[in-house]
Amino acid sequence: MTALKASLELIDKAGIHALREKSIVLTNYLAYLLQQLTNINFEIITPADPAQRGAQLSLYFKERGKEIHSKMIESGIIVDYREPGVIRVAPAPLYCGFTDVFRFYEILKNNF
Amino acid sequence: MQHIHSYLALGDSYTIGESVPIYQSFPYITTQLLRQEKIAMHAPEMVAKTGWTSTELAEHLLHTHLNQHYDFVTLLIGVNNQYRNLSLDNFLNDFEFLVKKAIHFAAGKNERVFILSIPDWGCTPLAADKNKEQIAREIDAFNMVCKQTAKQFQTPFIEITTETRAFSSNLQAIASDGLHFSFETHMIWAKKLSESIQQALK
Repeated sequence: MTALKASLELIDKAGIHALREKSIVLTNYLAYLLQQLTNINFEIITPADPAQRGAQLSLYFKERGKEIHSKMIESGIIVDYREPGVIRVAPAPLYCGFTDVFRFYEILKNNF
Repeated sequence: MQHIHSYLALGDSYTIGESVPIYQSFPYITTQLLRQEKIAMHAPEMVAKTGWTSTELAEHLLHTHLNQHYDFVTLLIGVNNQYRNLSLDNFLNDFEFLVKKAIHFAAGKNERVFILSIPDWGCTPLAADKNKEQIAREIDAFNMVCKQTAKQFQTPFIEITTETRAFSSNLQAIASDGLHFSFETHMIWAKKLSESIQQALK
C-alpha cells in the first residue's frame, strides 16, 4: 500500500493530462521508428489511431518472436510476450523516455 | 486489486486466424468483447499453427514455455486429422490428452475449458470439386469425438460447425484464400465463446 500511495503521489504530481500527452508522442515515436525497420518482418497489431490505443504497441513477429523477447530481457528491456510471437512493448510515460524507445529500436535493428 | 483474466487458445489455422490479421482471429475478438463487458483481460496467448494435427499440437504444447495457469482455455483442433485421413482412434487419444492438459492449464477447473467444434471446410469455395457429403460425414465423426470427450470431462462444448455449413452461399463469411473463414465468421464464433465465458464467470 505504501508503494502504491507513493506511485499515486508521483502520478498526481506529473499530472494525468501531461502523462497522456507525453504517452501519445512517445508511442507515436515508437511506431515511427518501427516503421523504419527493414531487416525484420513483423506487424504492429495495435490500432494505428492514437485515440484507440494506450501506452502500448503489440508487435507480431511471425518468426523469431521468442528469440527477440529473450534479447530484450537480456538487454534490460522489460516487454511482455504472448505466443505465437506477440511482443507487447509499453513505453510508460512516467518513467520511460525517448532514448529508451530508441534503444529498443536499435536492438531490433542491430541484432536481427 | 482487480483480477486481470488470462486466456490460452489451443488449436490450428482456425485459432490463429489464417488469412485474416491475428487481431481478427476469434481469440483476439473474444478478448475485446469481454473487455467491452468490463471484464479485465490480458492479451490472449495462442499455441496454434496452420496445418497442425492434434498430435502436432500436443507435441508443441510439451515444448512451449507457458504460464502455469490461465483463467480460460479454448481447444479447437482436428480438421487437419480429417484432411490427412488420420484415424479417429489416434485423434481420440490425442484429444483426451489435450483436454486433460487444457484442464491442467485452467488450474483444474473443467468448466473453464471451452471446446469448439470443428468447422466444415467442405462448404468453402476451395472444396468446390470435392465430395462435400463425405467431408461433412468425416467432420461429424471427428466432432462426435470432441463432443463426447467434452461430456466425459464436463467441459463446455461450443457448436460452430452448423454456422460454417450455412455459409456456403455467403462469400462474406470466407477469407480471401477461399478455404479459411473471414473476420465476420470469427466474430460469430467469438460472440458464442464470450457468452459462454461470461456464463462461466457467474
